[in-house]
Amino acid sequence: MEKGSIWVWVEKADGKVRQTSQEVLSQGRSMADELGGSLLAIMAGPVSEVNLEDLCGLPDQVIALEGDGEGGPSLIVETLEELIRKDPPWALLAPGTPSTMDWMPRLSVRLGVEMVSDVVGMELLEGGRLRVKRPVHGGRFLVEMESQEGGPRLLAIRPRAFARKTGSRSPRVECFPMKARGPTEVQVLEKAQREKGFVDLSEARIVVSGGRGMGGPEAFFLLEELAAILGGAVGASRSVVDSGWRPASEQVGKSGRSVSPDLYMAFGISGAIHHIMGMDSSKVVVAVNKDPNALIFQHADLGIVDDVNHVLPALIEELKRRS
Amino acid sequence: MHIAVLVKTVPDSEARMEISDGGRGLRVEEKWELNYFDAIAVEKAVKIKEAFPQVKVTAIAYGPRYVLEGLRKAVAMGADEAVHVEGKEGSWLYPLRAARVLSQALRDVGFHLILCGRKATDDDSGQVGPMVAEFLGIPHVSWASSLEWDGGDSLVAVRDLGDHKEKVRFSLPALVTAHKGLAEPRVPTIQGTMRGMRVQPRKLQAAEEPGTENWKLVRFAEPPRRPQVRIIEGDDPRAKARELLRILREEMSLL
Amino acid sequence: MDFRLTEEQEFFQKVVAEAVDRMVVPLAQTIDEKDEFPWELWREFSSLGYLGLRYPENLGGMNADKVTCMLFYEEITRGSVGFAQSVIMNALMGTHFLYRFGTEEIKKRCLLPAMRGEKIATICFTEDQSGSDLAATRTTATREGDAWVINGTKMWITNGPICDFATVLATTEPGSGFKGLNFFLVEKGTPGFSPGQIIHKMGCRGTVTGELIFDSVRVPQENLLGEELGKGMVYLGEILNEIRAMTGAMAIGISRAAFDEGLQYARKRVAFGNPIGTYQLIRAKIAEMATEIQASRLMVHYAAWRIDQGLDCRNEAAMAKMFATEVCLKVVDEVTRIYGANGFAQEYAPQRYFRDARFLLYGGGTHEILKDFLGRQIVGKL
Repeated sequence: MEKGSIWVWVEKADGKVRQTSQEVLSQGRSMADELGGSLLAIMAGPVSEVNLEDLCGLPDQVIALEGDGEGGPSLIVETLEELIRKDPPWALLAPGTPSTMDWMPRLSVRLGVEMVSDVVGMELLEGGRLRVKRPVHGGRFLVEMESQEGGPRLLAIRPRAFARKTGSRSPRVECFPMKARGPTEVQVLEKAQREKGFVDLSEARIVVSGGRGMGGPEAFFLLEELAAILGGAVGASRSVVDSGWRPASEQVGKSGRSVSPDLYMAFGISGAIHHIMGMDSSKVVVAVNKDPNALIFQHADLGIVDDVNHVLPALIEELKRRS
Repeated sequence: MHIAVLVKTVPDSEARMEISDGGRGLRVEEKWELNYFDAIAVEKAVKIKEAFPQVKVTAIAYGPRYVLEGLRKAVAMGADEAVHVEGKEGSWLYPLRAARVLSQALRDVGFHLILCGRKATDDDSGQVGPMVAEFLGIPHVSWASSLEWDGGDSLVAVRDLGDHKEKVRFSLPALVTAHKGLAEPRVPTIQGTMRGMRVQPRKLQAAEEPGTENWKLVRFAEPPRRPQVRIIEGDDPRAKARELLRILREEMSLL
Repeated sequence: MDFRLTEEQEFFQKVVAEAVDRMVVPLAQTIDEKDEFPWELWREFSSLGYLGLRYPENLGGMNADKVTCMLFYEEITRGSVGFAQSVIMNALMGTHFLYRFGTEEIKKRCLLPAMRGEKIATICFTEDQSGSDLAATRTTATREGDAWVINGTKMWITNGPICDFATVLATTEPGSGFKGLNFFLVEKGTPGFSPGQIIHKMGCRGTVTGELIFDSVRVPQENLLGEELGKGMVYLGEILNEIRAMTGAMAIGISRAAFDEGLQYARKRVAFGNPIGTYQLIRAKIAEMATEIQASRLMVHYAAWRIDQGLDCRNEAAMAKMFATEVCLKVVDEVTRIYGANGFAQEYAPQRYFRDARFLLYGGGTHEILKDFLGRQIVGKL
């Protein structure tokens, strides 16, 4: 195991490297630099499809796993296990997405090494000890863990936990055969991508969310408009999803998605704890609610006490005027 | 057919929690509930049982005495049997160890299909499901929001992952993790509640693990608090909107 | 002394509480505003089977001990007082005498469906001229061949106008006071049996309360619910303590619902720059209410426990009912004060609890009667 060799699993969507992977590459670069080691980016797909620009000049080396399309989780596990056993990295990082969480836990079992998921903070201490921080109980608390000796440190990183940066390296690109393993156990029958321009909630820099105070499903068209202007994603509270106004994939909260955007705008959301748990790690929170006693104001940086149905159109108009 | 459901008992949303022991511990009020996503898994298993009467449902939990709470609820909802693998306090934070223990229990108990929640709301890690599948050498499908029979040993699930949706087919034996939408947990009937009250779970011992700890708990901490909210005043919504945008743009450089 | 609820009782309470939170609480305000019987909720909730909790398992119940029953009464009342009145009528007073004395036929026809909410039950004591003074009951039951003919009018009957069957207190010996009192089963559809005027109440809205008219209502011999004639009051005495404790449990349910609202409000309502929960006077109110609700609970559970143990508890049950009710009236008052002007608005729940709580003063025995009773018991014969 080369001290300080950091591997980062890189994901692509629509042929481009995803933002969450760039965030992890950035953090991996910082770690490698601090440890005096190297950064290796691993991704599925042929060498010909590797776009070095997408990798922001960060890795020293790239391995492209060539084989059966994207490779299901079991193929990724097999392949990574082989690579790791050949030459174990000091740490393997991946963006914490549903896809990577399908294989990293399985890899963890293969290697007999515990992993940490949803990492939001990292610190290298002297003696090469690594401390990581992750939220528990819906973000009510952070728990700090320290790596002990033995095995590569397996980490799944929360989207938007780390900032993206760029470097100036020109990595060498190699290919490695993705494992081919008989008939795939889980066969994908259909895959429906969202429309172009769709911003995933966990990756969005700006999230605009609506609750019961919006008054009805039609009012959400305004939120969609606001999201489009700001280049953000639309979120929803649990009661709005339960009432069928918005799909479950938009639910922010304890039983929905956790988001950490730079800007979270809560419209007509009361601020029940299960919702707060899903967005409290946002950098800046703006709350608009006509009830001055709404709990959401206790978790917001900026607030407007007024009817969302008056404020939203005003915001949209002002934004349109400016541009 | 035998469906095994992994159930975790987590602190109730009203339970008071505070950091103790200089940060090394978390003191939690003794109010427990069945993990939300596991309740969905239990409901799905029971629904399958109601549709196909030869199906048996066993709920399995690992941990100290309080996990009985989740087992009671699973039985009240319709699980036929409960299995309690005894474990120490603090096991809630270590998925790999829990997965190892649960896998052994599953081998003892037998299964065709394993259901569990896609994550537990205490550690929020979502690792145990896929780990158990790996220990047992079976495929897993995560974030399932629907699950249907496709004939024989074949199942079809739909996964709604935010940025894309997919439909997958797979064969038993397999493990499926439940996402919202897979089923709506029922309110137990009086008969169910009685069964839950009377449940006597089968007790299993976890084999002592020689494994090394790769990660050691250092401490618990509270996330940084937000300062008091700044309410934006204005003569009308238009003025407030304008001021908000100004602050976001000029003071916070967010737009 | 082990004051704890058993794990089984705690689990039971939790399941019922969750059912109430999911099914009843979201509708409570609408039920109050519309003052219409919530048929859909009734069907949904009663189909779960909890209305039969007092009765044996082989009938579909769970043979619940009295403490467990109190937990049920407390939780359902916490959800909606009006709805709870109808539910508890089916669970306890409206069905008890059928269970105790009814023939197999009667049980099959009336008791079992009532346990599932498929039939609505009620019990009739009160009349225009008699409430506390049961000896002055004027509804008569006269023997005619092998049937009984019932004549009279009952008032303030919970579920009355919508009931499928009623347990009716009538005298077979007018003028002889308690000695003539008996319970009779009268079913809907029997000629002469009809609902009368509905009473529009200030609280406990959603449950239908009103008059029941018995105009030469003819019922067969087996509809006399009792082994011997004239033992009506003795039979009532068998469940009177339970009825009183139950009323105490209902009081706790209302207290808790109001208290929880008040506590939430104190935590978030800001005045003079701080949540009002930081101010001493508000904290004092919270502390007093919490203390008194705790005391009510212990008294009600103790009375219920004594019933389970087969110990006499006429005093304890009366005390529990009285104390829990007086506490409840104070709690609902204080919570409206914590709410300030908002306590006066229909939009908020405290005014609803304030209105609902008043029924406790006459349900299960007026406090004037109870105090007189207790006083006599304790002072003794002089």
